[in-house]
Amino acid sequence: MSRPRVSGLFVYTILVFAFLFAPIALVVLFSFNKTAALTFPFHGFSLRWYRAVLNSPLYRDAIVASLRVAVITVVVVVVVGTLAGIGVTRYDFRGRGIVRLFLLFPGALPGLFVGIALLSFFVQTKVTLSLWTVTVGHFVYVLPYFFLVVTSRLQRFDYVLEEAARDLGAGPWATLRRVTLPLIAPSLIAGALVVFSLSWDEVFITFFTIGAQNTLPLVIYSTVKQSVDPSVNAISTLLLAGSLVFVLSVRRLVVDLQQ
Amino acid sequence: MTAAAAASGQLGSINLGARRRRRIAVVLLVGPALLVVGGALLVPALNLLVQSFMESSGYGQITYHFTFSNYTAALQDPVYRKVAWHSFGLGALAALICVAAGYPAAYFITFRLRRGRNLALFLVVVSLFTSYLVRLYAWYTILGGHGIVNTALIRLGVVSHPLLFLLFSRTAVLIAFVNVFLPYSVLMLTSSMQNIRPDVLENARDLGAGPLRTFSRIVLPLSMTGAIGAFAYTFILTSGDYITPSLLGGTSSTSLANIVSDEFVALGNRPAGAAISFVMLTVFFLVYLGLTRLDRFKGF
Amino acid sequence: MTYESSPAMRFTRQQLLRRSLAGGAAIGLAPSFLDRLGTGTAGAAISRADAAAINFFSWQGYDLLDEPAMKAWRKRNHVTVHSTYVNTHNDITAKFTAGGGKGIYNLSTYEAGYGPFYVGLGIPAPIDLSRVPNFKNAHPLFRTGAIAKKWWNFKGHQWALPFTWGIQAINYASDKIKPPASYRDLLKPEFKGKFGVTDDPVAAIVIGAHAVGVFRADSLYTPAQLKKIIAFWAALKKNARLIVPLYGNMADLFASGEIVAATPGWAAVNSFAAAKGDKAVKHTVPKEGSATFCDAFMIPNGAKNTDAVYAYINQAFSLEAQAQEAESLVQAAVCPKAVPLMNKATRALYPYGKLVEILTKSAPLEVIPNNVPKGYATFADWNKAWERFKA
Repeated sequence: MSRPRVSGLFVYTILVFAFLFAPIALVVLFSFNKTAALTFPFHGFSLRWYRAVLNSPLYRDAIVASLRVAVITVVVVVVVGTLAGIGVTRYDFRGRGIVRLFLLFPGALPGLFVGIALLSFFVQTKVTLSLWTVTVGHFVYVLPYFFLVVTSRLQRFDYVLEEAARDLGAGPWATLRRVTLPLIAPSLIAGALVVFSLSWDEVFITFFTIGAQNTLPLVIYSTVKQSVDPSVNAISTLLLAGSLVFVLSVRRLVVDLQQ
Repeated sequence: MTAAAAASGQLGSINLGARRRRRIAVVLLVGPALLVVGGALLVPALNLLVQSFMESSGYGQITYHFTFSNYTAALQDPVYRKVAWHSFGLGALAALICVAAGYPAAYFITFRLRRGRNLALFLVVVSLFTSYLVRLYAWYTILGGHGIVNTALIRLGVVSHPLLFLLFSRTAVLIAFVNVFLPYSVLMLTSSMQNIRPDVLENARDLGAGPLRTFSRIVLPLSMTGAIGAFAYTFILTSGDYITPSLLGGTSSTSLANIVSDEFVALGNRPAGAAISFVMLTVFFLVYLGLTRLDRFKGF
Repeated sequence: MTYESSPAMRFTRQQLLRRSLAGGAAIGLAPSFLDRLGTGTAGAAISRADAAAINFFSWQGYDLLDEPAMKAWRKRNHVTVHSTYVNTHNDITAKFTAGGGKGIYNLSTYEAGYGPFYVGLGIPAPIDLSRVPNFKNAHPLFRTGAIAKKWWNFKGHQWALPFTWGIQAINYASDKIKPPASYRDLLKPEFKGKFGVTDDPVAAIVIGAHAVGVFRADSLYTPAQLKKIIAFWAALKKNARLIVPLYGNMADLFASGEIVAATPGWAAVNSFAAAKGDKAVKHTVPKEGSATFCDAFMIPNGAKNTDAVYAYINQAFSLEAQAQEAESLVQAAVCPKAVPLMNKATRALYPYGKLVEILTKSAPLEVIPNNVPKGYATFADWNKAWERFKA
């Protein structure tokens, strides 16, 4: 059966990808620029920015700090958010709507607002500002988005499978572990990646809740005050490469699960 | 949903022990999330809510004297209104474009790709991992007066002078927004479209439905949650965005997030900043409510 | 074959378990592993009892990480610097007044005019001058006299130590245009869509005051005068290509040819642009005058480990360090005897010979309005007016 529309959709999708990757391609290109220019004309190839980044304690520390915060945020959010999502979609209890709204509302607040609110909380509870307070801030900020992903997936969840498991004698937690979680895992992974990228780029909450440290987006954002140079491109390219490796290994997991 | 309701209903009516177990389960499941959000954010947010009804008396200082003036200013000040109109409008437009432009790609990835599907999704996800700010700079090179697009257009003879409105304008901000948020939309749409069984689509085609009808009657309603999620996510994050408008907006570089930042940081006026934030929150909430109504939409 | 025991499910469960274990272990070990990747100072809480730690909160560059003299000194004395950077001066105000700095940061800065404002907010702690003997190297203008008494030494205490200053007027592309003789040149049709207005309200309003002829060294303007100043900028905005968000952007805009001029300017942009391959960017002061800024080290209230901080500041005022600061910050030094130690290019940046004249007459320090009497615009009015101008 002929499908003339395939070629149209295919071309369209290719164009979409081209559009998505155009800025990224330029980021990678300029990471190799000989001068500090971030715009055309391109002055020739050089690895100086990679050397600068890998030799710079400022960038290294900032990357490490960002990674720590992002990884911990993701892990905690995935666990806590999935549990909360299951609780809210599977069980009908009084106040469910309010709980749902309560877990979603921080996502609709400006980052600056959340940052200042959290800072006043930490000041009043006399908690020293550090990367841990930043992590709390990121957690509060990204939870609504992960929660949205989990609940929307669970709302389409076919409970027949859970019922089948229970009919076969599995208790609720076993059902959770063996049936529910593997089936919603792709959405959880997608949500985790979204949350990671949100935490990775977060600037405003971080600024207010951080102590005498720096995260990568803070450094990048503050270098704009003086002068951005392709060091930031080099970092981005390095991290892109790192995330490629990471997503590749996760992808295999997704493929396995879908089988 | 009905299966779940039936299941939990059945569970609930079995015996009191089961009901208590259910309650414990709920507390254990939902508790941690509530604890952190409630503990860390609720009290200070309520505090700021109270302060939004007070008067500011200098940088960081508040006189505890009840007033609506912060809210009336937030809602009536012509400058705030203008900025809000542009921020929300641009956000809504970006969200609409992301959903509309994301659909064909998501459809293709879900139904037309078999072996390439994971690769395609993987590529989409990878595009999320370049730092946001760094990606914004790339637009100077693409849209600038001596940039890629203009150079190409001039070389091809389409225009004789570079199109300056492409960069440092609301158009540039819109393009950048769509570029950043399209991956999220494609991901969410794909995720919800995977719920549609391909044989349903085949049946529709066999019954003579054209592509538009198939889309509006089957695909759209069944993927509505994904579309709503994508729209809400894009709308909220773009309307409240600070960096893209300031870097790419040219002379229209002020956004609502800018105004909130000015109030809190430059003016130290927490009541005003809090009031505007809560007004934004209300707008987002109303939009989200409206969107969830759409969830019941069953097709044209 | 039950659902649970089907090979597919078993396989995936095992995979999930294995990977989550690996993941969990990775997460648990990650911090220490990652610490070893970095220098180990990432996230170091102050409770590490690092007596020689300086926790810096201000502009990037003012932590003096690049100057060889400071590097050597830090190495000799085992001092580490942890920095958090700001993007606007208001960031400093905001974080300290919100309580987010007390006991955490022990070194910061403020720009001259912010002195009385910050002292009123309780941000800086009094400085013990006897612990900074090198401050005597600074020009008397910065230590005693009218200016010093306004911004750094008043109410019986020394609140900050000025260590660097600079001039802000117009940056322009010297290979494309001639230096503008007046700010009003930018209103002409030949500049339409070709220049940028920098989002720096304090510098802009001071420059604007020069441009419309109402300039006062104490920055006290009536609302009507402020309106006139803003109207001047609104007219400029109409003719401009964009509002430049921050100075770092400016260099890229020049290098890519998007603009040929920008005001308020900053001389450092010349060298940023040169590093990007555009050696033609220059800075000029038109006939109406310029805004001058001067930044000073301050020790925030509640600072810990002040021994290290005092020693650090003292070292920053050594002649060698001052010369290097001028070079790396692309700004002016405050110690006259440091000028001969500079290389030719750095020395040429600022008219050190005319220092007194510039800072007292032709381009007095840009200041924010303080102790504003009734009927004059306050700093809040400035910010508000600028916000409206941008919108």
